[in-house]
Amino acid sequence: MAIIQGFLYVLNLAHLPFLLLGVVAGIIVGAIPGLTGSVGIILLLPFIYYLDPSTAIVMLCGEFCGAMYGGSISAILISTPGTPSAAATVLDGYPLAQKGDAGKAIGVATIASATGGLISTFCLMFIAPQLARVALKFGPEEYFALMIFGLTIIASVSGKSLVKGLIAGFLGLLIGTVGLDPVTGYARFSFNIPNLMRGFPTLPVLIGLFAISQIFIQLEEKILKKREIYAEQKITNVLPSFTELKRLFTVIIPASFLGTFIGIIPGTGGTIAAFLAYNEAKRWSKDPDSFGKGNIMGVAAPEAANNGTTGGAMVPLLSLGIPGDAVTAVMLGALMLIGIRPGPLLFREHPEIINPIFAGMFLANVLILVLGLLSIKVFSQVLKTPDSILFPTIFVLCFLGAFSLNNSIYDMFIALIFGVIGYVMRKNYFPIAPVVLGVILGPIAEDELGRALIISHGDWLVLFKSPLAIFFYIISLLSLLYSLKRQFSIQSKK
Amino acid sequence: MRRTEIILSIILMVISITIFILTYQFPQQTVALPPTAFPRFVSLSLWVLSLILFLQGVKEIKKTSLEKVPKLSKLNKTFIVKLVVMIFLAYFYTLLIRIVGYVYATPPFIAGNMLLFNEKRSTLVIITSLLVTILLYILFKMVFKVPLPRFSLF
Repeated sequence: MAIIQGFLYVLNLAHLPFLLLGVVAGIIVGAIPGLTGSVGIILLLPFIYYLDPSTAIVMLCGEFCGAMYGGSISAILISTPGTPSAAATVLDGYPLAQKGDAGKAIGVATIASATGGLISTFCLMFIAPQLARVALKFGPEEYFALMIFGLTIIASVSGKSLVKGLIAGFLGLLIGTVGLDPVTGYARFSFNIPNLMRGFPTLPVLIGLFAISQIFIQLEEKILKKREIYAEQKITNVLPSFTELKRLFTVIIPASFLGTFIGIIPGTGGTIAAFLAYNEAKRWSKDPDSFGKGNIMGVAAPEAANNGTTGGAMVPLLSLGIPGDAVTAVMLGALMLIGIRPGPLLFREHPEIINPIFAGMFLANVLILVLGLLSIKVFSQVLKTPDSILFPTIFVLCFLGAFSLNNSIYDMFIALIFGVIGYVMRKNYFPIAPVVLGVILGPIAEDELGRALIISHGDWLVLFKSPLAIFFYIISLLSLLYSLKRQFSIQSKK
Repeated sequence: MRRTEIILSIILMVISITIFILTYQFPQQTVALPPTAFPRFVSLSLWVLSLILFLQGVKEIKKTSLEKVPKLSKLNKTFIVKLVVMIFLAYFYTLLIRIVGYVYATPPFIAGNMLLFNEKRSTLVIITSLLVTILLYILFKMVFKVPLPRFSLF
């Protein structure tokens, strides 16, 4: 079976260390508040660029899964989620730590995360190839409609303000128009500057928007003393008893499937899945009043769900080429940088990559279980790293990362500029993920539109002749209307 | 915050109009999708959205009417100064690294940033800036074989 070849590839001593490195890096990045899975992927990019595509993508998957789990460590120990998807874990995780059960909380979070990730990987293995088979029948007009759907996800990841999210998305589209026009090859907005003829390089833009802007925010938190003081927590008795474990699985398994399903829907992500799972666990609990005061189920449910989104979010990413959430949006950019274009053609043109991805996701979750249970005391030390050492180091790493792709000082400068832009955006509550979506999907959408119009000899109606394309337009419209409705209900509550 | 939104929306409207005007410099081509089409669509949409943001900002300001702009606290002023210094430090790093190379440009950059992050222990600053420079050099140059900027003054 092909999947066995995938496992043999990943377990090979030439490749396994990279998966391990990805998982460890992901856990560390996830555990540090302020650094998310997206930043972790970006910081890994300069390293994976020089690996073969299968190893690179396995390392990224390891980082993705590791970061989703790592957020629970700081959520439990210091009441600050390391990643947004661990926000629900704080509700019961921190009270457990305050009672002296930090070890048990982290142990349960580890088991729940690994289970959620494993179940979602199985779902990924079965669903993605089927969806890709359907998507192989897409022509340029269907792809264009799919990109429009992908771009309407902008509205879903916009956070509180739909207008700001759309502005961020259109800014991303605008950034994507700089450089050679995909249809005619004309150099747009280059002002005869050779560097601008190739457009803004994606990696430095990502590094600036996500990582460098975050460093500026961390400086602000340090100076304005917004960061909490890290308290010592004793970590003992990491493993729950067998009886407790049986009880926990009655929550972990359904939460894992819930997370997988949520992850498949583009524009959702770990945070929504975690809170939904938390609410459901509370609703079905025999003792709902104990939630929020240290109920271990309140840790198990969100952690199973948020790691459940990892495999789920990879389904639309791999089979359709559209990201399931903000982190997979960055992963999409990362994959394209290393020469892999996710989508149905990936299954046809690069089948040698698919099985290592499945095997890599599976083994990443096994590694999370092993590393989490055995070395949690080591990972928790990461939280003690002084900001004055951590963030200057990350700053240099960002610049080296930006430089390494094209050996270009210009790219370092671009990263700095976009770092300032990203900081201004975030301070004014403009989300960054839509910019990434715009930068990545915009050129693809324009390319597919151009192709469709060339084939149809300029007939724009070709975009509306395909039933599949119409389906994507309808769900795009529904997605936008839903976001608008959500905005209005938030505003009317105010 | 609404005042900042109004300023940003005006800036965005100016940018989008400028982009739209610049597309008139592109050659007019009779192809299915000329190079002007997508940038014009995006810039027009951006202009409309910026206008909506502007109107939202004005509406909010009218609602809250004569809110006084709070004076910046001492901590806020300290942060703004440090942020500007950090940005200039980073800019000079990108200039310096091109001339003196990674090995000589990076330790002062790290040290400067550590001081901005309120690190007062000078021994730690010196050791960390040298150690991180060396470790990243080993990682990039020797492990991943990524060439780093070299000394090129002459």
